[in-house]
Amino acid sequence: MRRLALRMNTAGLCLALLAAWGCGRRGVETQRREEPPSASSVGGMEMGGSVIRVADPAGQWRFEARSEQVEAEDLGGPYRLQPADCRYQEKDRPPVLMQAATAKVDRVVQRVVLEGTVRISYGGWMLEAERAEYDLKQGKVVATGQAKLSYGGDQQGRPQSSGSDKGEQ
Amino acid sequence: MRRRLALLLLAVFTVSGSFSRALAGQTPPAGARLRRGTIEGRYFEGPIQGPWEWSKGVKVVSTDLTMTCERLKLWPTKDGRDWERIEASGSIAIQGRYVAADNTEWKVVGKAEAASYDSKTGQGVLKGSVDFQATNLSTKMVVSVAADKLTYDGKTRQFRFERGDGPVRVEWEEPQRQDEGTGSATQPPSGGSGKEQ
Repeated sequence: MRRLALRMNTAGLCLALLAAWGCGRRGVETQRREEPPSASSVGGMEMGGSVIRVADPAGQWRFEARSEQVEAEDLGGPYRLQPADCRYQEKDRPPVLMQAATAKVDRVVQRVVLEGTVRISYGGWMLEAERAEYDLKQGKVVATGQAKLSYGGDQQGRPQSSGSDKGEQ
Repeated sequence: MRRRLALLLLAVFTVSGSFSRALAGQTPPAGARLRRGTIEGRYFEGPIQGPWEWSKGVKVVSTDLTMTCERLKLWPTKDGRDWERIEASGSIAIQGRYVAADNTEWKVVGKAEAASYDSKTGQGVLKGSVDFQATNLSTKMVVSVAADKLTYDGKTRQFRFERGDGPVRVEWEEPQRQDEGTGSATQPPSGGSGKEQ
């Protein structure tokens, strides 16, 4: 399989997208996620600016990752973001916000691996760890290193999570 | 220093004397003290909605309360803003410091094999080889209890100690007191009548 290495930054991202997708093509539907990854297909992923989006076909959740720098082994991913600023939104739930020095987004297995000063916030909770894996399909977190959860931030020093936007879609 | 010892031949013992007033009645509910803090361990897993589990060197640090254990499980509320229940197991050690309404400070130390706290009922439980000690930092009076189970009821603000087929063991020390006989299990001397310097 042709291996294509892309190194995108904010300035060069528009050109890379135009070359890969064709001029004027926008808004690939996320429901095509079931297609196997290939150099010519990015089904299930929508890249706009430095944003990577993955959505559940059933509409139960959606994931969005932003970064100034994205590397990909293939157009279909997996994608390596450095640094990473992510958001996971489940229906009728508070958003899950994630930050890390690096993130690897694998749309095929629907998994995100965060490494280096990982911060995950949910409602009034903030989890900090050296490494965390987030299973997008199950909404499950496994964190290693010293996994530290802070709570009660609404009273003093509120965690970065915005609990007020519960259920935001 | 004189020591009083009351060895109660009761399987179930509910503290209702000045000890309970000092430790429970004048201190804020346990839940209020757990509303803000941190939980850390070397391994964490769970669905984002909970329950969440920590293992390997778990430490809970909250306002006036520190607990270490081997495993801990926490159930957050559905809105993600609070928690409903905490369960801990394995080599539990608790240390806390409380300031009573009359500004009396107490240091509390406890050990057990399992612990839980239910936010809804306000009930906290220590189980398995419970060793509980409270020290009045002003008078230096020390109350120690050994039992199989300790239950703290946040509604009645009482401590309840149980021991399956053996006696609950209660000891208290009053370092500045001239001993005047045996202590009563339900009315241990403290902070006032009969206290000698």
